[in-house]
Amino acid sequence: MLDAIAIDRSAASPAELAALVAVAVVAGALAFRALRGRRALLALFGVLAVVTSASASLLRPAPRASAPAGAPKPGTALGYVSSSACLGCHPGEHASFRRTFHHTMTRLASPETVSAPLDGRPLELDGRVVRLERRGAEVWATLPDPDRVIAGDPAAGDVTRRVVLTTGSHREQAYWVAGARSGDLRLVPFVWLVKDAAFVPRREAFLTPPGAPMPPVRWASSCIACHAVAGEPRHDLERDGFDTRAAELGVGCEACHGPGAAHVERHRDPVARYAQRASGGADPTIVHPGRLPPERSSALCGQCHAYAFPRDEAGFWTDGYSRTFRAGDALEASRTLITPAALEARGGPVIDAPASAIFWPDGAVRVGGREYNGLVASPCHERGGGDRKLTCLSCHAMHRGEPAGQIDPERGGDRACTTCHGGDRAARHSHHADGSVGSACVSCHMPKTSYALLSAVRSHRIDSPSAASTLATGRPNACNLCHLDRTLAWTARWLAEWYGAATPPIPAERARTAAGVHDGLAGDAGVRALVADALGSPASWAASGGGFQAALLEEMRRDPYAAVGFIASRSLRAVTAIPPERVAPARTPAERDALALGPDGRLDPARVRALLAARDVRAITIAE
Amino acid sequence: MSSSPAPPTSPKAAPNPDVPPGRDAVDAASVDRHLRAGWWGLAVFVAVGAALELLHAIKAPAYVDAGRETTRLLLRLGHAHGTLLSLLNVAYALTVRARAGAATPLASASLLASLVLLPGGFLLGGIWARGGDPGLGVLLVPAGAVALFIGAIVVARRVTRRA
Repeated sequence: MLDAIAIDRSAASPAELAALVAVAVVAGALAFRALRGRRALLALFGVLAVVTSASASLLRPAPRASAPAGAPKPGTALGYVSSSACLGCHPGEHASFRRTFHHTMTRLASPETVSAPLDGRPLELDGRVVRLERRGAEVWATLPDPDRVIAGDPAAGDVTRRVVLTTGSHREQAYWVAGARSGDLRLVPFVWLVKDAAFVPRREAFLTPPGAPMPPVRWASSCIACHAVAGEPRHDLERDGFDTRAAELGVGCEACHGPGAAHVERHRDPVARYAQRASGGADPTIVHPGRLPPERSSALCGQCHAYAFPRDEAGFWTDGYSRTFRAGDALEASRTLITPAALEARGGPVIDAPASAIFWPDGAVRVGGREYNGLVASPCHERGGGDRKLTCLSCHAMHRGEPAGQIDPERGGDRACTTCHGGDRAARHSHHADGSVGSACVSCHMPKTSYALLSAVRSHRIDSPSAASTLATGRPNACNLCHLDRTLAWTARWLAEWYGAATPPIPAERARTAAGVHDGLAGDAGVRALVADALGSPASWAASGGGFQAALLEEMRRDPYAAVGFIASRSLRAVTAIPPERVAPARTPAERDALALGPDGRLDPARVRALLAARDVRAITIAE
Repeated sequence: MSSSPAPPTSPKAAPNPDVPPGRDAVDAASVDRHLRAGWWGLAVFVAVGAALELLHAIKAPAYVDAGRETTRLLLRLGHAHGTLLSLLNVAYALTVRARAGAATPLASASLLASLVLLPGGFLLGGIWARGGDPGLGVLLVPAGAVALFIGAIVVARRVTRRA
């Protein structure tokens, strides 16, 4: 339970010193008797004692950090004991869990948990300076008063506050300081990009329209449901403050296995442990996700990886989901899954973001991290049954595989799909070379059409590429996310030839211009981000060849959405690192025309202007 | 009437000219002291080991939970060092009995001190461990290690000389 808080950080206690002296005296007495008062030898032992004592002065006690003020307090939900209680009996599972990014989703801020450099370097934003620095075992931030900034005060004075929590450790890490109100936590306006090893303003780390303010975020209301176990906001309506509590920070064992107190208590008895093992049956005191029915095991992941809204909103502000959902429960009792239909329904949940920023027009979720919405809308989940029903555990494993994707090693490659979709037909139907990226099931049926954290993310709604769908929804199809140099008409033709798909009428511009160029310049901001990401992927280089990505990415770097520009710059760095022999294959005039390339290999300005004029400029905010 | 049988000869060999007079009494005292220390030490540290096993059996949170790794390590070290040093003291006593003159006050004092300081330091360091750092009791460990080293060297020299 909040290990770092619970650890005794006090200095040496009188009892400890007394015990130390007692042991030394006993040793001295024994030695004295053995020496029978020989002075020289007694002197030797005296020297030994002095040397030992002197060595104590060399011990420099490491600076000890007290729990930051404003950190969530221990939770009040019954039965939670925290992940630390699991280690004694499940060291392997505990170790495999600790290496995941779930474990490090939320941590108390300290020099060990903060990934960013703490050298106090000035981070400039809107003419103001933000600094992160180490002070002993603590991390402090100097920043414009976050509450005043949110209130719209451009002259907000600087404040220096201790950093309380960190969020994330995989791609980005964000930092929280105490807000003005009791128990409130506010974000430092810069986030650290772990892989890029760079600070970026928080508003640029998410997909937000230029100049638009970031939605104000409070940890106890926006993050607590997923970034802690059994989080309780305990919002005080009168003071607008919080008495935040959590069973454990980060995604701990009990998020998936349920409260462990009864399990721990029962299995302190060795006889009970061995009897349980001998029985081979399910242990009623703990949840084993692998033994749950498919819907319930997926709900474990869905408690966080879903767009959902609490059914009891008032209750949520007090207890979060700590009293309405526990591992093994169905989601429906505690929350409403947000879908386009749910948003339109009378009395449905009301959220800040427009539906168009969350869902593609066909209902597929376009925000990464919300894979449960896609899963439950997939035919493999809807129509599958029993062992053949697609669940999160069909592909993923919490305790195995690489931490980044947590793909079950036994279900890697196409194996998750071929358990149901086996046979020659499945092997042949990709029409791509065996072993190539294009032959992988996920490449076509789970294209990267979701967006989160400056990256494209695979859609978890299993479907098949469709030119008609792309035309109707704007959602890029799997073919053109690799074959960026080909037009939508080209895709429609091959889908018709290989799979008998109906060929929709393709508008002239889309029939003329390569999908990568068209979507990268004329798509909405979310589409442009996906294309910018795809342009930097080795899979697209293999399918598209080179010779146009750099010119297109140079243009995309100037995108008004900072996030799109950032991704384009990152992809451009990757493209310029491609070995020269793989770059710039000979293009026919027709191909150069499709890519809007002029004779000099640069984008044709007139074509660029036309595409920019046709750009879908509706505001897109994906704050994920 | 037959004469009474001759009194049995002492099992001890003729006095060793290398051993100073009164040395036998010193050796006997040393043997006695180290046998007592060794066997009592063995009793204590085997009991410590049993207690640690019990803590495992009942999955005592203070012993097995995450964050208690240092405590666990140091208590195990204390148990192991205590047990082995107890056996070492018994071995020393048997050595002295087998090799007259092997006993020296310095070796005796060193081995007895190490029997207390080494395991005691580990145990105290474990009981009062803070996070990854042992408690202050661990300061006794280097002293115990030096004492053990001195004892081993002195006994080795004595045994070598006598051989």
